[in-house]
Amino acid sequence: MRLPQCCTLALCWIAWIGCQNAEGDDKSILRQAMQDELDRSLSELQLEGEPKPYFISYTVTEVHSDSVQYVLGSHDTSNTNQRRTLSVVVRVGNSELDNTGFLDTSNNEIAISPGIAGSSLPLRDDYDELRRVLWLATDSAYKGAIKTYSAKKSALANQIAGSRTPDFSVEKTHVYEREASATGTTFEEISRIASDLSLAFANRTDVFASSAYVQSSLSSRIYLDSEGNYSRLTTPVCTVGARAKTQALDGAVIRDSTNTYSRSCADLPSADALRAEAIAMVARLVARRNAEPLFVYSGPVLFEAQAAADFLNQVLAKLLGAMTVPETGDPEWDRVFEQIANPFVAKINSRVFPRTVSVFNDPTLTEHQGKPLLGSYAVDAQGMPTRRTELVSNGILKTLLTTRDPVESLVNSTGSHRGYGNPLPGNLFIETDNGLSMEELRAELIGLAEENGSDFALLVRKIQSMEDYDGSDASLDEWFRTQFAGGIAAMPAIDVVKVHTDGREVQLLPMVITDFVDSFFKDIVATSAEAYHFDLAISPFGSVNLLTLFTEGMSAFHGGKEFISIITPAMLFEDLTLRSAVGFKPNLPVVPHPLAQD
Amino acid sequence: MLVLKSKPELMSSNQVDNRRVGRGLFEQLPIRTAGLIWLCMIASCAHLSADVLDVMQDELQRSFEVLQDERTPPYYISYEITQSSSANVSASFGEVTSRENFTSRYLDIDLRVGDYSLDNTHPVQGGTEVPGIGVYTTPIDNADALRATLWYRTDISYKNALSQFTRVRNHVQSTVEADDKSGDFSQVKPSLFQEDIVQLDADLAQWSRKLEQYTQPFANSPFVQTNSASLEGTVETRWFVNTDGSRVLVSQPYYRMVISATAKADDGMVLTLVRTFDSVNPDQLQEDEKVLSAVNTMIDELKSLREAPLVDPYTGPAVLSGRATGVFLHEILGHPLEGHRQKSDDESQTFRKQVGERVLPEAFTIVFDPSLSAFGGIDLIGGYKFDNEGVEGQRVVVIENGVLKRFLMSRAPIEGYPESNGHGRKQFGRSVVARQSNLLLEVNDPVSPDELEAMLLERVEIQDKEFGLYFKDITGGFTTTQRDSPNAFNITPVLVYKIYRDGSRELVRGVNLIGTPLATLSEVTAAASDYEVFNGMCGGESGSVPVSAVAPSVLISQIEVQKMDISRDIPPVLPSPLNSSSTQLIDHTGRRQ
Repeated sequence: MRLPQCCTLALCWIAWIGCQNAEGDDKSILRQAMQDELDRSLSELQLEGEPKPYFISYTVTEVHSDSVQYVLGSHDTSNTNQRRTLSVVVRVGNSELDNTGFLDTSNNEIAISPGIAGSSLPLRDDYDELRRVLWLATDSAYKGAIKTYSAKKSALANQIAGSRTPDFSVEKTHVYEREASATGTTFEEISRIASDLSLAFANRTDVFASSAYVQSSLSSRIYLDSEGNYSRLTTPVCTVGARAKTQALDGAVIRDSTNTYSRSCADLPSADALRAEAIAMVARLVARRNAEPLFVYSGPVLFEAQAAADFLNQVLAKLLGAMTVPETGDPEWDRVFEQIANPFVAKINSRVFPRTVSVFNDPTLTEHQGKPLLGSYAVDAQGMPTRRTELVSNGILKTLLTTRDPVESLVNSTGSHRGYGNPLPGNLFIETDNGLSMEELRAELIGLAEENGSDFALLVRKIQSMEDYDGSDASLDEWFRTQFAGGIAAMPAIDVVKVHTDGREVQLLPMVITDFVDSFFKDIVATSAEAYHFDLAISPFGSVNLLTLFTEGMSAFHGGKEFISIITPAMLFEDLTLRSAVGFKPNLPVVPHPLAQD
Repeated sequence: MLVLKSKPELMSSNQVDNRRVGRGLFEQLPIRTAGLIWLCMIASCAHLSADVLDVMQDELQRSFEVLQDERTPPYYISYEITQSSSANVSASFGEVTSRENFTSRYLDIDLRVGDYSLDNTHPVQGGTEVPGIGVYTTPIDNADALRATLWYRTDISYKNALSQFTRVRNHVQSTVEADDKSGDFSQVKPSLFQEDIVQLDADLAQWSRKLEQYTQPFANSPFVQTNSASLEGTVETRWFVNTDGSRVLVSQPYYRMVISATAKADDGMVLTLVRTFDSVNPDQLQEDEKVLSAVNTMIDELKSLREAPLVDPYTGPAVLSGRATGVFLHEILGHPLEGHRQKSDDESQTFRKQVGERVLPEAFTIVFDPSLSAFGGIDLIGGYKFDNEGVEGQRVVVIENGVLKRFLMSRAPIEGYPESNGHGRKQFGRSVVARQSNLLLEVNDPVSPDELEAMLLERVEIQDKEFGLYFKDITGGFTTTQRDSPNAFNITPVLVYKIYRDGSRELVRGVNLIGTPLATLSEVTAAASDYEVFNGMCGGESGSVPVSAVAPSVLISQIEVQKMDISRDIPPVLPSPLNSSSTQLIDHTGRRQ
């Protein structure tokens, strides 16, 4: 399907050539406006009888994004938008005790993200208008901060004094700037890829719905705070994906997708390669139409590397972040938040993996074995430099990733405030000793099944991507509800096979891993010797939960797309429980596909 | 060198533009071409428009025929594809804050099993399920892609309809027979209509310049706390086919500019003023003199409102301006006259038994006329040629000489009203219900506005009141029509005046107009000849639809106002930085001078 000629002209503008800020020096008008209002607020902003701010930060996020979706070579939806948003954080009190980490529930309602205010900003660097918006947002954040600070002090006054973790960490000042270079790839070219990609499903009457999409964005984050931290990053992102859906012969709705990410659109795989990947994906999907159902399984499970990476992204990544649990002064609310606190906080210096496994996060690395790491970044959303952090050493959890909001003994930032308000890894490396070849791992899997007296075990090849969830698929609602409530949940395993002890493989319908426990990863009994690199997007649906919503408010959603790079081997778990992810099974279509010959 | 941007057209000779303007990330993007993306998408499909209907009809017929062999076959299917193409620019205080283009094609399928008397869409008391309709994006540029999408979504709709029909039959068997024994769907003649697809006329660069110009005066008014303006253009193109044989293609542009501003009174009350400009032609929204005059009036009114006294709860006579009357009638009369409300057991059915009864003064006639496109030179956005059930929009006289005659009808019949009058409307993705279009209040014996005010003062005296109220402008309102809550309306005025016995006026603030429909309508007394137009978006069960109301000022002998909810937030702690001594000039590198 050729694009109409006019689109050739119209879509060219999306290219990022020349999108850098001409005022990119460190004295930009935007920065000056931020600095001036910050200085004025820090010195003059005070209500009578109330404390002054001891800390103020401004984060300006500029996003220019474009997206197009095609179905079978036909344009379906498109969107382009430009926006600039401001998020202001005001802290009153001092770093030991301030207005943060507390939710005022005294009036039977919770003030969301007190001390944080947001607003849209002019796209153009108009000094006066920038000052005006900064002024009003700072004022709003300050008023929220003093109200919460007062409520927090009152609540704490009624409690027995004990040692408290400070509310804010003390860090060295850091200044960082990075402007992205242009890609030189036009949006038209990428749209053509999406159109071509969508045609990979043409003539597939066994695929019931399909689409291909392109999303491109250029986002900048400018951070300035009253301690002198300043950072400015401009980050391009290019995403191409394809999705397909059909029904198994027993009626179960099954789906699959491919998502390819790149910083530079020029670095995307060739159109032929993308198309080949989509064709392979749909071939696997259609092959699964004959899959068998398995309602429940408990026993050994081997995750191939892709599935292991998806699983670690959805389950482990969040467990490795130390998230502040707010105080409320209300025992009932405190219990609610305790239940959704990260269980790994209590596991520091305890075994969480087998002795053979070590885990570290190093966002400062920009490539792995010659391939760029999309999870790489230099400075986090609080202006803190990131660094290598040894998280698990020989199976023992050593520390967690942190922001400037201390959690128990973790009082300094690891530069990990990213991903919709969560402390999350950037480049996560899973290292193992005594790794096996894939053949040996498979033999181990069968051996474990035989030990259990079973004639089969499960092999998971792929777990559904969090990127596929947009709120419209009711079958994934339980996953979303669980993760939003702070629980541990993984998306369904969409490519699962029974591996019989005689070596036969039988494809199964989607299953979901259930019955998570804190000691979950200790059940890894073997890993592959070879590690594989996967770049995975951080999904807002998989990241924002009650805690981040209460503490960060809508500012948690600001910013462009971010990634985690996971370098992991395949993993063999000794004992996992999986249940059928297939609920309602509609009948197969009565009417033949319109493109079917007969 | 200073980077200055002068805007002489906005400034008097003694004003100096000392705004420092630099180039941000977005400024270098060639924004004019952004709109072209949208135009190209439309162009790409324009030549396919006829084919789209053919493909839809072919696939509709194929599915319908095959499904006839099923045990519970569909008796009716319709496809509606809505292409929504929009462009939007937002600005605040003289600066653009966002730009966006959006194009999407949505597919709605109405598939019914059962028969006209009882089908899967039958209302089930307390039921919340949307009957048989979902929203999905759909491609239209390629026949195979469109066929495949229609086929798959039809299959899903059919299965949903079967499930719903089972629940409906169970419900009917387990409940007492309904009072209204009309069926679930009415028969209509097929419609055949096709018009050219309209192209969106969106020059985002020009829109940006205009909005900067129109919001600049707010930047020069320090008491204005927030300001926003948006200019949005949308062309909604709908392809509709059904198994009755209807084939309809309509394409309707709609441009709207909304300018709002707030200020804060000393007591913390946030004062909001909103002006909207609606047209089918974007140029009509960009008449500088007219818009800037409205902006300056807003600023003056905001300034006056800050100093206006609060008014206490009050009952007594009042005059509603034409715009206020339009919203008033839309809320208290229009919504209760929507056909489906006369049937649902969840609804209070306020006017169900009032047909043939006088509900307004004899001189008053109320018409809903979707065929009206303008009134007094102002475009009406509530008009359309065909509704979302493919039925031609009809002029409906609901109240004639004060007597209630009929209701607004979709294809869902009610007892005594078996046919649609072309008011089945919805937003894409929702189910059709009867909705309002262009409301027009016609008055046989209007008086002049001065005479109406004199009549007001007479009633002030008769009722021994100190003053009457004049509602000059409103922002909107809502009505509750269901049985589980009081059937009341609440209208939010923004400009209210006390009119004292001596005729003097005083601007007041802080009240909402409240009441119940039957009681308040019985107090409507007279109307003037000063017609005004209110255009707005109406939210309802079937989503947001554009509506208009055209009405003159009316006198109501007895209204009630209650205090509105107010914020107690104090004004900003620090003065505006634009007035602060700490603001210094900076040079082009951003350094302070």
